[in-house]
Amino acid sequence: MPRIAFSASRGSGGGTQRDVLISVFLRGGMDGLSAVVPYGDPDYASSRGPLAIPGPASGNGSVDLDGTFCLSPSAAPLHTPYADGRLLVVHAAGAPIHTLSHFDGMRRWETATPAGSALPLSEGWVSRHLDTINPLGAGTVRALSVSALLPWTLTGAPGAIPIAVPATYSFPGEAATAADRRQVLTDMYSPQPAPLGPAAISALDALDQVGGVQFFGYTPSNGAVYPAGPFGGGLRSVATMLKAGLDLECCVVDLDGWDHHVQMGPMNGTYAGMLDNFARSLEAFYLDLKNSGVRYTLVAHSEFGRRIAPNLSEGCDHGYGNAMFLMGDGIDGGRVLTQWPGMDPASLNEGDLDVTIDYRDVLAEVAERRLGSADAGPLFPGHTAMHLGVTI
Amino acid sequence: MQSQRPSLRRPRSRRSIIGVPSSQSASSGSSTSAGPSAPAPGATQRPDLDLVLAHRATQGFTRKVLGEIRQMGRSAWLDRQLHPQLIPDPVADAFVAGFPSVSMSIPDLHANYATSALEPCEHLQQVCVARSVLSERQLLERVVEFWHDHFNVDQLETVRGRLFFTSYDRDVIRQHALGRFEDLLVAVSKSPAMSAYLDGDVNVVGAANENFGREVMELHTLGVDGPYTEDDVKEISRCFTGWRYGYWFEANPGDFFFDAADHDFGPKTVLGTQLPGGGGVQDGLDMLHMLAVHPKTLDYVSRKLVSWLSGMEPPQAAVDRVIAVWQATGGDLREVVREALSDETLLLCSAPTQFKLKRPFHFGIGLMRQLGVDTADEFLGAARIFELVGHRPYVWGTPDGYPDTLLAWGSDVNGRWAYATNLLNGGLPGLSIPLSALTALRGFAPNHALAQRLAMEMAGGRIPQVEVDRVQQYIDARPFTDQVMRDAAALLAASPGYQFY
Repeated sequence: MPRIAFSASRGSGGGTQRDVLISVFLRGGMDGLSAVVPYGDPDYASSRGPLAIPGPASGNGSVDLDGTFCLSPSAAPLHTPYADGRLLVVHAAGAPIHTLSHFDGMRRWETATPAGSALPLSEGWVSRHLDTINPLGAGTVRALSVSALLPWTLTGAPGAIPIAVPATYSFPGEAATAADRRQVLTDMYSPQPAPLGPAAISALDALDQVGGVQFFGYTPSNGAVYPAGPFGGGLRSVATMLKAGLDLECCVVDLDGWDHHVQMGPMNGTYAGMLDNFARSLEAFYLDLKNSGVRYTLVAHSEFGRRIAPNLSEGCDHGYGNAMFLMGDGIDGGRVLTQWPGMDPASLNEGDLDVTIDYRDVLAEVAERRLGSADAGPLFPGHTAMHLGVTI
Repeated sequence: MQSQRPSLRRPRSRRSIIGVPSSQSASSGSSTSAGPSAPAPGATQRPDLDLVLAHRATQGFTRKVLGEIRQMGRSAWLDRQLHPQLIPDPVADAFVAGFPSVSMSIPDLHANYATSALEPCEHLQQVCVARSVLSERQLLERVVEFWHDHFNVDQLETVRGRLFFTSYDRDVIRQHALGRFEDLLVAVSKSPAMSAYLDGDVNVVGAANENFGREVMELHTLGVDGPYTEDDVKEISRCFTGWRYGYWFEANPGDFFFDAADHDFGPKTVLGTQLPGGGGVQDGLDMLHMLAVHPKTLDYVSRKLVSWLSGMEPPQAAVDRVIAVWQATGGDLREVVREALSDETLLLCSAPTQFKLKRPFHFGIGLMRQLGVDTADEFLGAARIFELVGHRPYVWGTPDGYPDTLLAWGSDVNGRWAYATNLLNGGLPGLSIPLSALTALRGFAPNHALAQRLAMEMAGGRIPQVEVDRVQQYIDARPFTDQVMRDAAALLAASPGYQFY
C-alpha cells in the first residue's frame, strides 16, 4: 500500500503558522459550576445547596485559581496546563439564545446559527472555516472526528471524515488484491456527488495517511498517561497522528453523557468520575504535546450549563451560562476570564447563571489568531465578533 | 456479557439460517438501473413500484420478497404485511424461543437477572438482528425500528432501567407499532423504561424534573419547532409529577403507578389549556391526548414516517396524503403506514434523488438477507459489530434516536466497505457466507455475467450498469476462483448504487 511522504510542516514546527483545532464537545449539558467552582461568590453555596463544592480552605482537594474560582477535586489535573499559563477558563460563557433543548442547543452551537434564526443552519462553523481557507495538505483529509458519525461542527466540511478507531483504520480484505479493489472503488466513487463521492475520496486517502501512522507501541512524551477509555484513547490517537505530521486542520473528540438530572455526584459520584476522566485526558494531551512543535488549540465546551438550584433528585436540570476551556501554546491562560454575572436571584436568567460572554467571540478570536482565518465574520453569520484576548 | 444461564437457552447447533434462494421465481423485471448519481435518462418513466416496495417496506431487499410482491400484487402483499400476526413465521419464532428472557415479565426478569441485567439486554439485540434477517413480518420490523428511534430509550443508559427494556420492546413498541398513535404515546409515557430513561420516576411536586416533559413535546409529538415555550415545559412536567412505576420492593414492580403523594395537584396551564387543580393522573393523560391529536404532531410525525418509509425529503403532497389518513382514522397507524406505502404516495417519492441512504444496520441486515448468512453464535457477534459503524441496536444515547439522513450517515464509507468485505471473507465474528450460498446465488450465470447476476440478487437492478460493469472488469482481469466471487459480491456491496434504497 502506498505511503505518502508526510510534510514536516507541523511536526517540525516550521512552515505554516496555523494551529490544528482540537474540538471537544461535552455533550449533554456539562455542569461547569462543579468543575470551575465560584466558591468566592457569596450566593454560590446557598444556591447550590447540597451539591455545592466547598472551596480550597476545606482541604477537600480543590485547587484555588484566583481567590474566587477553584478547580474542584476531580478537575485538579487541569491545573498542570493552567499553572503553565496554557489553560484558560472562560466562565459564564454560552450561546446567544437560552434554549434548553440538547439537540437544538448543540446544533445551533455547532453551526453557529444566528440568534434570530428559527431553524438551525446545516453547516458547521468549522466547515465554513475550512471552506474559506487553503488546505494545509492535499485537501482530502483536512478534518477528522474520532467517532462513527460526523458531528454538526464538521457537517459539510471539505475533507472531513469520521474514524471511530484510528489505530485500526485500514483497507479491508486480502492484501494481494487490495490495490485492484481500491481502484474499482476509486473509479465507481469519483463521479459521485456529495456526500458519498467526496467521502470516499477522503476515506481512500485517509487509508494512506492514518493507516501509515504507527499507533501501536506509541509512547507519550513527558510521562503523560492517558486514561483508558474512548476519550483518553481518542486524544491519544490525535496526538499520535499530529506528531506523525499529518496535515490535519481540525480533530474532534467529543465526550458525551453529561446530562445529570439525577444524582449528579459532583464530588464522589458519576459526574466526578467523568470530570476526572476529562481532566486527566486533557492533562495527558498537554504533557504529550509539550515542546513537541505541534501547534494546536483545544477548545472544550458544552451546549449549556446546568440550573443552579438542584432538583430533588440530587441532580440539576438544564441551565445556561457555563465554563469553556481553551488550551494550547497560543492561549493566554493561567486565569479565569469572566464578566461574572453573579448568582443572587436578581442576577439569574430564569434561574440560571447568565451568559455574559458569547462563545462566538471566543471561537472567532481563535479562528483569526490561531487557525489562520483572515476574517472570521462569515463563520459566524449575524454576529459581529470582538476579541476578548483569549489568545496570546 | 456471556450468559451464565446456559440452561435457559436452548443449545443450538451451527446451521444455516437463511435458506439458499431457490432459482428465482421473480421475473427479472429490471426497470430503472439509475442510482442517485445517475438520474434515469427517461425521468418520466414510471418507476417499478414493486421494486420500490421490496426495498422500502423491508429490512433489506431480497429477490424472494420481490417475487412475492410481483405474484400477489402490491396491495395484497402490503395488506398481508400490515397484519403480521396472520403471517406464519416459524424460523424467526424458533430463534426467539431460544431466548426465554425475551418473553419474561419484569418480575421474572428481576428474579433471573437482577445481578446480570446486561444479559437480557444483549439477548434482545441478538433477537433484533435475527428478526430483521429472518422474519417474514418484514414491514413490522421496519415500523418497529422507526418507533424505537422515535421513542428512543437507550437500553443501557440507566442501571435501573435495564430490566425494563425487554418489556418496552415487547409490550409498548411492538404491541402498538401498528395500533393507534395515542395508545402508543400513552404506553410509552407510562412505561418504566422511558420513566427511568427520562427521569419520570424522580419527577415530583415542588421540584419537577423537566426531562420527560420537554422530550414528549420536542421529540415525541410537536417537534422542536412546535408551538411550546419553556413555561409549557415546566407546566407539563408538573402534570406528570407522581408518574412512576412500582419499585422492586413494592407490590407490582415495573407496573405503572401514580403516586399521589408526589403529584402536584395545583392548577396548570399548558399550551394555553388551563387545568384546574386536583386533576391528579388525569392531568397527564389529558395532556397526552391533546398532544396526540395536535395538528403539529400529525404534521411532524407524518413527515418523519413518510421520510422513513416512502422516500427521502418527501414532497408536501405525499405528507398531506398521510396526514389525511391520520385525521380520518384517528391515528390508526396500520392505515397511516398503508397510505405511506400506497402507490400514490410512493409515486411522489420514487425519483432517484429521493432514494434513501441505507443506515448501517439496514446495510448489514440486507447483506445478510441477500447473501445467505450463517451464524455460529446466534447473531451475538453480528449485534456487537454494528457498534463499529455506529449503529448497534438500542444504544443511541440521546432521546432523539438514531438519525435517518444522508448528512448523518454519508461521511463514512470505509466502514461499509470493511463490513461487506469482512462479511464475505469470514472476518466478522460469528458470521459467515457459505460458499454454497454464493453458488446458489450465482445459479447458472457464467463468469462473464457474474456481476450482473449478483447485482440483481443483491439489489434487484438498483446498482447502475456502469458500476456493475466495473466489478465485472475486476472479475475478468484474473483467473476465476471462489475468492474472486466473494470479492465481486463485496465490491457490489461497496458500490455507490448499493448504498441507496
